[in-house]
Amino acid sequence: MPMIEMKKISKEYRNGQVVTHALKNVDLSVEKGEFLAIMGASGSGKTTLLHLIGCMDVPTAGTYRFDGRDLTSANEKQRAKIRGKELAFVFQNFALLREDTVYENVAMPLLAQKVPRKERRQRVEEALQAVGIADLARKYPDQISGGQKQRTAIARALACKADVLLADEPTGALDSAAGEQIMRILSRLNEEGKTILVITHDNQVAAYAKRRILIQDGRIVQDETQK
Amino acid sequence: MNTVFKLAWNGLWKRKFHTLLVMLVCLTAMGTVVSASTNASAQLYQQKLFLRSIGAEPAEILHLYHRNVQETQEFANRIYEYHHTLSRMDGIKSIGQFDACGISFRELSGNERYREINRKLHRGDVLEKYPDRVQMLYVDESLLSFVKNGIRVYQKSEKGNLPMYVSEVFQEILPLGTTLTEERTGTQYEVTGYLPEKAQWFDENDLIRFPTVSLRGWFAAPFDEPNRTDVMTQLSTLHNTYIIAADAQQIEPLKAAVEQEAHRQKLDVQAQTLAEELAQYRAQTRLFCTRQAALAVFLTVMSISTITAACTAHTLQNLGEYGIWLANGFTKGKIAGCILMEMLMLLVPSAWGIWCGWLIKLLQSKEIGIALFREVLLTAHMEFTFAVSTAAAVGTAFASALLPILCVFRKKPAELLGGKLYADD
Repeated sequence: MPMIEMKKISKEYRNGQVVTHALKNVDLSVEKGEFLAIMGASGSGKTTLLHLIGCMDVPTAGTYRFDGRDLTSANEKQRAKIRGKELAFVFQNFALLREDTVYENVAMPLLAQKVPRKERRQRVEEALQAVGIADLARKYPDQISGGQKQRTAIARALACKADVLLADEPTGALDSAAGEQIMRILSRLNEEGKTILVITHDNQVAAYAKRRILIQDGRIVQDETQK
Repeated sequence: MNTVFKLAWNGLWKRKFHTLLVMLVCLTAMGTVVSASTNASAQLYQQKLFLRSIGAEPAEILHLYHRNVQETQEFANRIYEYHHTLSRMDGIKSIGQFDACGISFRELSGNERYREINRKLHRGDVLEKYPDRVQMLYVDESLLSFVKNGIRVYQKSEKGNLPMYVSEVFQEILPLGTTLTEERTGTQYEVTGYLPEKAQWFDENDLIRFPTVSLRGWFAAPFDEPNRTDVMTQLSTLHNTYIIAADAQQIEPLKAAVEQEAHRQKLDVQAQTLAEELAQYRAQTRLFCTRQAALAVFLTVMSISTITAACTAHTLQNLGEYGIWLANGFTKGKIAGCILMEMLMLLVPSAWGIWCGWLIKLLQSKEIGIALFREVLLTAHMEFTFAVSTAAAVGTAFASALLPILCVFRKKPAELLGGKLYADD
């Protein structure tokens, strides 16, 4: 059974009289443990697709199944439960709370899940160790580098024990060395069994993925598995 | 709920300056609400107390107002005659006066046990320095029923002296039959009964506007003849002269007759029923309450707009932050709850803090305006103001949180994420 299964997914945005078709009849199936790169030009619908997969938005048409569950008509509460627990995001701009420490940022999804304090502490510490920034727990985002910020975001995803990581241009704001470090971490996580979906323009980043899809004008025009 | 509380607390803590500013606005608004509601409800409560205490229908009681008062014995004699004439007039059930003053009894001067009890009773007030003094309430027997649940008649003295009731606190040292001689007039009184601990009488300044006075530690007796014709006593009791009508239906003709008799005796008297006085007081109270309420509402509305503006500005600046929350498993409902909780955490403690501060002031203030009305103010403050200020705080919190919450709800999660994310690098 695929981890992510989308059939004839369409997404429209209405702004007054203007209708934008961000996605048109997209079929996508992602197996558990896959490492998928989603590529395409700006405005092609990559981010919209990621947001639909990540339950941040609902499709206008089509069906979406996640880990065997039909989420097409799931309500906000049900979708929120999956976000931050089974799905985690890593954003280009890190998406860290400026006024919270690294520790607090990583603990955030655990607060949403009402994880008890002791267990929360344990999971955060393990996640920080896993990405090599345990010594930065008390620092604030403006006190650490871009690479460290992105590792904090990944630690946040690990702490909530999400099976699926959705990364939107994770190396977009980083230099090549830091970017490489991040991609190695993601690869390692994939080897450990996590399903990774990465949006990227960068072929070098896409090279880490075993499968690539190309989106153009809201449709998947290419889908190839790399050997 | 715990998570929402934690997030709200963290949010307020991290924005200390903003929190402090909003708190100041909240304190100002809640201060007005608390003072307005205590002052207004105290007046309403005072009216209730009066009606609860008066032992006759206010519409049946005439209060005499003497004008053009002269401090002469001749005037005092005319007053005495006038009241004597009224007491025999048709339609009048009784006419009476009361007066409160400090006197001395020969037998109690130097009585150490009496002085000790008196000192304890007046600890902290000016009478503590004068432990020999007796607080005496002169009241005509015809007026004893003025106050509900009080004594109705004076038990007669077997020795032919004037009867006197003393407070129960003196029961052990002043048994029944004790004779006491007033130092100034030489009049002899005999203890024929006791005033219960909870006995009350109306304040001699104003029956309606002032709370009743406890008679604990007081003595009560009818006027003696020297006092009845004494010019100073007459002048002192003039404003506490009351007529109880035999028939409430005939009150208007009776009023006219009373005023006419005064005119005949070359006195300037106006008669008004207690019901009319109460109506005037109610009208004044209504005006006062309306003004207080208007001020409180105005300031509350101003504070709502200020807090809403501050909160909305903060929310709009931090939409991206809410997008991050959503991406990490929070719902919009939780975010709304957090915004509302921040408001409640500022407003409710402000209201309760002001309420407690006011309570302490009411308990401890020695200002005459507060000391005199302490019981009424405290009752109003505890029974009414707490609920009103809590409701105002909660209402203000909801009103202030509405616009910021709408700002969040109008955006889709993906749009919120597209707001300012952390991206200094």
